[in-house]
Amino acid sequence: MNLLVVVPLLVPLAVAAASLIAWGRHRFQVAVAVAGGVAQLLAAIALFVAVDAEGPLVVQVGDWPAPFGITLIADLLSAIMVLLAAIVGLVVVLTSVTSIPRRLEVLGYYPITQILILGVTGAFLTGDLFNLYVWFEVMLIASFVLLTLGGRRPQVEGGLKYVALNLVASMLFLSGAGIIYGVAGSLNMADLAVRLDTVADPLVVTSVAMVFLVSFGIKAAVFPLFFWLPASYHTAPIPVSALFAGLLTKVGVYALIRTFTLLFDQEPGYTHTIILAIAALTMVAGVLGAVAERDVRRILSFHIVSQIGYMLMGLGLFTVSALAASILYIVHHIIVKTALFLVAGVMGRIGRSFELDDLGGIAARAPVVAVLFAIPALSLAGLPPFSGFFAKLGLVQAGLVEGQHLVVAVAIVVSLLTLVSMAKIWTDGFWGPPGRTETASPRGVRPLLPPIAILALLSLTIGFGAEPALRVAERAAASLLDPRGYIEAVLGPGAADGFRAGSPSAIEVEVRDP
Amino acid sequence: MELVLAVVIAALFATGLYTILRRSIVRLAIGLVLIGHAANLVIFTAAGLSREGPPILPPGGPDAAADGAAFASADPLPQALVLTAIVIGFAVLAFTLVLVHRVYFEVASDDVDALAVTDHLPDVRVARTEAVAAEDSMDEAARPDDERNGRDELAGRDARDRRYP
Repeated sequence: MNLLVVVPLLVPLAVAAASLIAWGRHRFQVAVAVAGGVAQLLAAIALFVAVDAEGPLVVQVGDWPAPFGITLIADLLSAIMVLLAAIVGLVVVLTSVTSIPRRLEVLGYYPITQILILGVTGAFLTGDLFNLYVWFEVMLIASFVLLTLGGRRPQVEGGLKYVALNLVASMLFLSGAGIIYGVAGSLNMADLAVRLDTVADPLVVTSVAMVFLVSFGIKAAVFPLFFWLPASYHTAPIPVSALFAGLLTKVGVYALIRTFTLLFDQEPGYTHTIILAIAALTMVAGVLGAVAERDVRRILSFHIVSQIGYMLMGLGLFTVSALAASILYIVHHIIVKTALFLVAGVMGRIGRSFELDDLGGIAARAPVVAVLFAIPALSLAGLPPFSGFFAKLGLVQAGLVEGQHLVVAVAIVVSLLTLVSMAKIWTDGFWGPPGRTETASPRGVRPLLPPIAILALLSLTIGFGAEPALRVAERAAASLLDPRGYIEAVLGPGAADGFRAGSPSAIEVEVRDP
Repeated sequence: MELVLAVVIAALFATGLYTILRRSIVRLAIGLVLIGHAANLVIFTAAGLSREGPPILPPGGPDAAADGAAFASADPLPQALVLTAIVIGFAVLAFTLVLVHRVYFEVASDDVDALAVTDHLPDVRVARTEAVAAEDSMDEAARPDDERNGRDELAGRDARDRRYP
């Protein structure tokens, strides 16, 4: 029993339980949530350090041997994602303390937030396909409640769209899992990785892969399945929007990366070319939506869609350096996007509106807010020396090595358009005459700034420490493309003997691994 | 038997999708239920149907069956999966119904096309700005009691209807 893998699940569960028991005692709930956020961060750091040093850590729940029981496994990618979830969770809790209105606190805001983080962390740590479905549902139900908490009209309208599309995605996921079990006779992902390569009819496997692509595609908001996201994310209170923007779609991306490296890599010429095309279309569709919008939160929502395209681009290219760049991109994006949504909240609080037509002149009166916007905004557009630059550079380089010039061109043009829409927020929101609806004094937003500063500093740290960050991402990507370590960690030594001895991806790993 | 179930599943998926694509919000919920049933049946059918006995070893081990036949049993795992999926689906359905109810009270319409406040249409922009100013989501602005607890929707609805044309 490896405690390090279980603690990141136990902490949010315990915090949620304690907050539910103390229903109505807000000070206690806040204190427990902050303490839990710190504990979760420490647990995630410990897990990351251990996994980076020792390789994948595995827990067989109830000591049932794999593939019969449920497996929890933390490989390097999982550990990175758990760490990011902990960072975002802590930052959002710190923001919530000073900004969530009492009328939402009394409805159980803090316990539900913890359950959301529990679901996200569980989805990152599980090694079982059906268990992944269960964690998805934990996360979804918590997000349904958080999104519609308070029940105002925009919230329930956006919430209905969000709920409907995500439920359809869940049902597709469930059907796919059922068919996989029928085809391969297992749901343990490491076991499936071995079994799916020897299925008699490979066409069935590729067909199921498409079911999973659509299902996770809806959850990750890829083109043409993203319409629920800009319709719903901006309706929630800002800390909730930031939490969703940072974590939820990235769970879909994580599931895509996990399944399409571990399970469905039989026909990369077919499946991963589709992913690459989807990636390019997602980038374009998202950024065009952002350029057309005038509401800060909706601009940022469309940018989430656009950025998902970059993350999938690395998966579509399917080389170690491309996947490493994708992982770095996810890390960068989670931090930056959470920061941008929190800054949008500050802008909305100063200007009393989220419409660019109503905002203006924030830079003159709240220069700190302007700096805190500029760092993640420039990082999002991919300017050096911020974190986004190195992630995008890695993707572009990997694309050129693979000779995929079209998608590289799209990625660069979309970067430019990202900069254009960030400049739009800057000129209309931070420059110019004071806004129309302005009433609040910038002084009142000071408690909201430290959490954003933490995220901005993290983005700068990744930017200046790009070399070690990229090395970690490369190690994670190499173990994704050569999952023998993953399989042996779950099923025991020797389980991966002869696994994909001559398959293209295994050869590629040996050639490209630096 | 597999063929019959396959046809049933196809019919459920098709009806469910058709119902979701109707403009009524209530039908949306019904469509989700149908698709959920279809997904459960997929698991059940794809895992293989059998007429074998329960997955319980006879006393004395698998070779100690009374008639000397080899021990055979149905696969219990798909049933466990379907049970889990049913329970989760039930919880999600309960939430969806409450949400549909709430949407109906807020929008006063069963028409999906009436749900346009979150989309950026020019004719609702002014209303959206007012809405944001009124309910700045990061501000603990003083709100009328009826909106804070949302109990008397009918009273609150008139006020909201004025705000959202």
